[in-house]
Amino acid sequence: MGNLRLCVNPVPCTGCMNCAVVCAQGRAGDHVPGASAIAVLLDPFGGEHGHVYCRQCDSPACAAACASGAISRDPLTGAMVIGYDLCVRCGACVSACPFGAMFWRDDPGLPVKCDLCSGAPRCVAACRFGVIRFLSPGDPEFAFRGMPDSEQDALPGRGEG
Amino acid sequence: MTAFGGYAGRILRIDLTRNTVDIQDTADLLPDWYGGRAMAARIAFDIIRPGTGAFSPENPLMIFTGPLTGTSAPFSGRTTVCGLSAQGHPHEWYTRSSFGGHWGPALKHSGFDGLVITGRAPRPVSIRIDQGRCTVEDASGLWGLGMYETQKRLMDGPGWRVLAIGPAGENLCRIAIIATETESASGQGGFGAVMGSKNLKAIAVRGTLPLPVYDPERFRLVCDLVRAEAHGSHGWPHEPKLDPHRVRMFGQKFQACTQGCAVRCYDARFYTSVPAVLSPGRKLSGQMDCVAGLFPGIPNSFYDWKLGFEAGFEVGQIANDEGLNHWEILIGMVPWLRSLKDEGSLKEVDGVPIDVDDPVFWQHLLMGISRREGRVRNALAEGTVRASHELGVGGESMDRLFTAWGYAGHWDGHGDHINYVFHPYWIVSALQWAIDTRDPISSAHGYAQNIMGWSRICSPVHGLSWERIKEVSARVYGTTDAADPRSGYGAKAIAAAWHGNRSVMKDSLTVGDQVFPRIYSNRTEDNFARAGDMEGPTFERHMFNALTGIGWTDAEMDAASARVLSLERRLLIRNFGRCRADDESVIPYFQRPENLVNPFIGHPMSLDPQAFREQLSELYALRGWDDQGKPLS
Repeated sequence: MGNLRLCVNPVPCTGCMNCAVVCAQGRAGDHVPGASAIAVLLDPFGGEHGHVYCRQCDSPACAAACASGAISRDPLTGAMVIGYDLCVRCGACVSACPFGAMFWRDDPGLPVKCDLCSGAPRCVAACRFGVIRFLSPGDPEFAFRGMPDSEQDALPGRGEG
Repeated sequence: MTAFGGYAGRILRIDLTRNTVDIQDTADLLPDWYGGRAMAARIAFDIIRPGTGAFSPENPLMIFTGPLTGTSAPFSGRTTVCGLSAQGHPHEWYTRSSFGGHWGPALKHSGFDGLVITGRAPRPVSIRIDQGRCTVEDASGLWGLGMYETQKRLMDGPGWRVLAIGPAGENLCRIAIIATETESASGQGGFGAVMGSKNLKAIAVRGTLPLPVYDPERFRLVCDLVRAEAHGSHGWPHEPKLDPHRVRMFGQKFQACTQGCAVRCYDARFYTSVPAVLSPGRKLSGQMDCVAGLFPGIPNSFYDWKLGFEAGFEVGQIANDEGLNHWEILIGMVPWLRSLKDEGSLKEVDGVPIDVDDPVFWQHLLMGISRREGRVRNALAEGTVRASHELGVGGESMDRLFTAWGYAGHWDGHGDHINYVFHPYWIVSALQWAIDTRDPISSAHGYAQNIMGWSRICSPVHGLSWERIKEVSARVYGTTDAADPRSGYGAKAIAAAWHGNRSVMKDSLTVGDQVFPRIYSNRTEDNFARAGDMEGPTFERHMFNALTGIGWTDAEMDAASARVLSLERRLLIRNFGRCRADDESVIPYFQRPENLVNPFIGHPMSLDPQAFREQLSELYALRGWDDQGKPLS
């Protein structure tokens, strides 16, 4: 099973939004900001931009909250993926994610999450500044925290993607 | 919706006098008037009547995106402002001025391609556009606030982007800007004063509405290829590095000056923690872009004042917050004031001695201009050229620093001393200046800056030989003369015409001027930019076609852009009597010796009026204009 995960170092982020825009385009074809599975919380006055993205948790709260069993781990990539044929659009997963990284797309009304683009994340390719990388959690450069340091960190709210 | 991809499909027409909002279908303008500047020109020609001035309620403040804005096209977050300009001189000509940041994409996703704002509200107002709904709200409580605080008060949550004016715009300073975030501004043109004249303080937008794409797979491929091909800052061959000292001391970092930027930039830097000098104890944060890098002063240069980084940064933030035009202040006004002091014709500004090494003087100057305090600063609020006339001083130094139309020099080899360009490249700049109504370079860096940046003068390690620059440029202009350092006046009209069309294209699509057009490359054997099946100069068109489905050829896209320039010209002739004599009024400025000597010539060059007039005639002909500069169709 693939064990690479998104790893974000927000310090060099320039706020270009390329990650969020190419994610939305890749997932929806059209440019639908709500289709993005990564969000950049711009801080235009402080310059310290935040990122809301899926950690593909070992014990994913989204899957635990899904009564219909629609969220499962992709054996090839290790990503937690939504089976939309089983999803009943209840939104429980969105409420359950401690990182706010399960997004709700109003039109047509369904949850959206990062599926690691089948193992080649477009956001990583689009970022020219090394903010988003695709690394093993065992990699020394991996800044994966596993769990949030604080409630504020854990619940950044709906992103701006 | 339109039949084409990329457009939101609606244009908002807001009359602040009648407090009405109407919708125009974008489809009315397509495909001929294919985006921002093009759409604005079509509307302007129809509704701006002769006799209308910049501060007339009838003057439309037009704020437009383009089809690429808000999509995954790289460097595509920009927005173009058009209308009669407060800064224009001797007339308040029709002109344009673009800005970056993230506001334009939000407008597109809120359901609108552009805004046409006319009238004058009876009291201060702001406009709020949220997911397709527009409301005009009382802004009395915001009037008098700086741009930063205004934005913060209108950002009601994630996703809100705010465009605002500062006190300078409220007080109708002709060098007032419209800006978003900390330093993304429609800087030239004085459109902040136009907005202020309408009692309009700010426009807040938010949106997540979808934009259709004609061919999603092709568009994604094209955008990915163009993004990956992007070179360094300005499209130059090398990428800049951060300054370790400023990283450590002030939190320096790269910043995208607009959505979709994909390169490290010389110009766009953000500072997260800079100790204030004028307000001890405070820490400041904000962007410092482009010409703002001159605020601290640069030793051993024409701009060698000694504010130092911290004070310079703080003064720059004051200029931002007050809503003043950096280019005017740094390239024109302050060097002019310094020359007046040196020649003894003006020693103080409203009671404070001119001392450009003292941040207190700068604060006094800037805040007094934006608030129109004191005789001198009130005059300077009219822009330096008008102030010179009003105060009756500094005419000679004015003529050295200000190229034409009320704007200080820019990439023209004479008034601006920060950009390295020599003869014959500034001849193209002179032609661009001649037929424009403002500093033309904001969307025309692609010629002189591109050539100089790729030459080994500016890029000793990664640059190209002159022979290779000639070979590559011949693919674009059809002749090696256009970029040959020994070519004199040959083919300069061809380059001016080509880049004039590209200027329209960038302001209309919209894409970043510093990067496009892509011509030179260090990733191909012949150094001609390519990506996939696309040649560099066609990148914009390929993105446009895949997105919209309009399917233009290069010639059709060029013709559409040239049509915009001709319509703008017809408006200028009809409303202001623009003629060849106006165009030729730039000649005396360029007859002065250049700042930087061409090493193949060995001595400073100046403009040959007769050779220039011949090139101007050729430029008219290439534009389809008669010999007096009047469009034939």
